[in-house]
Amino acid sequence: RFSHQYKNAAKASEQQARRRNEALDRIRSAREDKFDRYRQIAEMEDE
Amino acid sequence: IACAEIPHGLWTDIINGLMQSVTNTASTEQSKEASLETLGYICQDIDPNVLEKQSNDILTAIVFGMKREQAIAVRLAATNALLNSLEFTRSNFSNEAERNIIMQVVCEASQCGDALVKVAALQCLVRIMSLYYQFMESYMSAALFPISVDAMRNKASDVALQGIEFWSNVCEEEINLGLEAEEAQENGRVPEHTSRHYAKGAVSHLSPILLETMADQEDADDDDDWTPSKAAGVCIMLLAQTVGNDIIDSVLPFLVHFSSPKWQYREAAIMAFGSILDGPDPTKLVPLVEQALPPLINSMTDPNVHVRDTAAWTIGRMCEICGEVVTRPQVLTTLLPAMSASLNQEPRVATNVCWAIVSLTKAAYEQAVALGTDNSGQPDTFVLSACFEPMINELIKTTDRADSNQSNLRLAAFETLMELIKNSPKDCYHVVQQTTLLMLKKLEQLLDMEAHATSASDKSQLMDLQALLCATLQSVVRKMQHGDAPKVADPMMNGLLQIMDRSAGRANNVIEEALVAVSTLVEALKSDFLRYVDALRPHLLRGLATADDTAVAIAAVGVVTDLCRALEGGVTPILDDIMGAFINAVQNPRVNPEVKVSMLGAFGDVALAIGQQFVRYQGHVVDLLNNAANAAIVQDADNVDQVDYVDKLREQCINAYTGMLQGLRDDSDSPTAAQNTRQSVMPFVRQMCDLINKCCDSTPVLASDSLLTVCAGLIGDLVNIFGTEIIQAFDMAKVSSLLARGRRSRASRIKTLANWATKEVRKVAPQALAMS
Repeated sequence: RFSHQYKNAAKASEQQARRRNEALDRIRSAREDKFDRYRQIAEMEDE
Repeated sequence: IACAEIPHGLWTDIINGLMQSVTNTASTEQSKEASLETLGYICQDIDPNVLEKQSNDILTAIVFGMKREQAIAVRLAATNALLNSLEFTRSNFSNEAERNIIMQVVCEASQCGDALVKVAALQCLVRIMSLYYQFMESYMSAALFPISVDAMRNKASDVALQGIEFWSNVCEEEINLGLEAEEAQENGRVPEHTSRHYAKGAVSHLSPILLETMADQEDADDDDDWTPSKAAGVCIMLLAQTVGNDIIDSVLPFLVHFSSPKWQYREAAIMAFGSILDGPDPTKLVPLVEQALPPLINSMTDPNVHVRDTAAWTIGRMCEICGEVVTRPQVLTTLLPAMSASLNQEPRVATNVCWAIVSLTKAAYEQAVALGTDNSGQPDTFVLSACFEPMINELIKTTDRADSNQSNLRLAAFETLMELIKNSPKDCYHVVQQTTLLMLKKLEQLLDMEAHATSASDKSQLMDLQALLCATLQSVVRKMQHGDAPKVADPMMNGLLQIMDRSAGRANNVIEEALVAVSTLVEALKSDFLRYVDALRPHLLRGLATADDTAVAIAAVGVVTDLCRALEGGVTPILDDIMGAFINAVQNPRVNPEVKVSMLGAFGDVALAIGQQFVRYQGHVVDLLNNAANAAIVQDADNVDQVDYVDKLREQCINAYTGMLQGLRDDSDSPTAAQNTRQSVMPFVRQMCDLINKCCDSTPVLASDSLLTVCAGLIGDLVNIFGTEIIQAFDMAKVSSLLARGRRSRASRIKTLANWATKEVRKVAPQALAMS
């Protein structure tokens, strides 16, 4: 059960999973930015 | 047959029948063994909840079969059956008398002369420790500690492995309990479970055994075998994470073996040092790291490959954990040449060097960012700038090595290239440009090679390589300065389209990587991407229709989202096809739920892109969202996967509604603008409010932070459009409570949206919030 923690055994798959998650995060944050622009939330924060 | 029937309430007497067959004095040894094996198989395959009510019968049979007076074959079958039944015997473990009986037979079985029974019993103890940690206090010092230590010292690998695994499990459990305690403290409450700190109490006894076990290895050990030596290394690492500074005194004396004449001890000492770097306070570690670095760098040229391999791994750990030390210029003077030379060693060593370079570069970049950046967020330079280009060139050479298919070297070298590009400061930008051109050239060469490759294995290797090139192109395009992307767009799209053309229908991550590369190009080119849309259309639709490769379908949805944002109305010509593909996939039972969830969210992106034109899809989409939201119900609050899925599905439904609502908004100066917006949104207002009310309900589970955030956003949007008349459609007590939770959050986005939504509500109905 612990073999994936030995040295860098799981590093390659971790890196790939991280890249995949980063791609999803980018989509999420671009969507949030767009929603917030409509709500003029950035302006509200500046105030 | 039992597994098929029992969940449907059929064959209700089978478990009792098997129990009788074991405990009946007239049963033969073979009959007992077969009955216990059958019980074991049933327990292994069935949903644990189904058998919970029959756990007494099952345990009666098992405990009877495990007794000393039974034949070895019967004891083995019973012990294996116990291993499979532990998950649904919580009620028995909660009862002290029953627990004592179970623990007694398992501990006795762990002392059995038969190796198989002994190993199976130890496996049970490992599992029991994970599942019932909170009940183990009275057994630890008298039984579990001596049994596990005895097993760790056993010459038989299978037995030693279970002894070590027992303590790795204890550590893992206590690390999680530590996190739970921290979280509880942050939220000002008492943790539900507490650590008994067994690892802290045992570390000084365990470490000497583990360290000796680490040194017990042979030249001929197979790299892929899981041995006590490797397991002991991981256990020391987990112990360090659990007990922090307390590990140092136990391990420090062993580090004298850095210069042992026996390679096994040199390797074990370096491994031990690398393993304890995560856990103790940095202030304690820094002097040790400073002292260990020169001998470690020397070890990169050790005559033994195992030692070099572990030295490279340990240096990587130092770079990851002690970035402040390894990025000092005087350290880099010796470290970089050693890394460079080791990149040419055996693939296993070179792979570890690659990962070390990743950590070193990240540390250097973070340090430079901490010193200050301009609006771009990128530093002007960093400590690796002078050697950045040679590093990239050496990594590219590494990807070309003939033996780079071994030990994941090629993959590690490409991943390292990507990280270097991602973490490069402004003064290395020319290297990003050069690398882009080189990657494009390589892609062209590969496509040419693939066209001429004949064997399936050659083609498959070439496709793997294409996937890595696509991933590298993503990182270079993401780093590109405005104005440079159009220069590479033609050759890049040409290559990506060819890849997708040739890979069509084949299960390979190359299509996923190519689609994500398309996404990055869309993001970089914005509306200029329009000229590629027609050529991309068939590949995109094929990706969206891929039912058996979740990653490909999700990447295709990502491209749609990016296209919507970049092209807005320009995406209209392909939208009928895309929306058709979305609707088909959402209704297709073969498509993975994760894909469906991402598609539901993307409806909102389409709506935002085309505004009023979305009305033509609105009926279909609202039906789908409504069906999805109604079907998404948490039936079992303890089922983490189910809770998570329902939460994500609701979040994406809300994103879809938010996109539709904002897309349909009339932002003109017309005096009837507000009325126009209300009319456009009216057909699905009821559904939105119902969904919001469901999300605000704190039973059976609280909405996640992400769901809370999008929910607060939609509440604010609706109140902004409809004013006071929408308030009565909300369950205001629950809505208020959700918004209050959001306002209390420490995460800035949740707080901002909850505050904004609260202000919107207060503007129109101050009493609605006050009353609740």
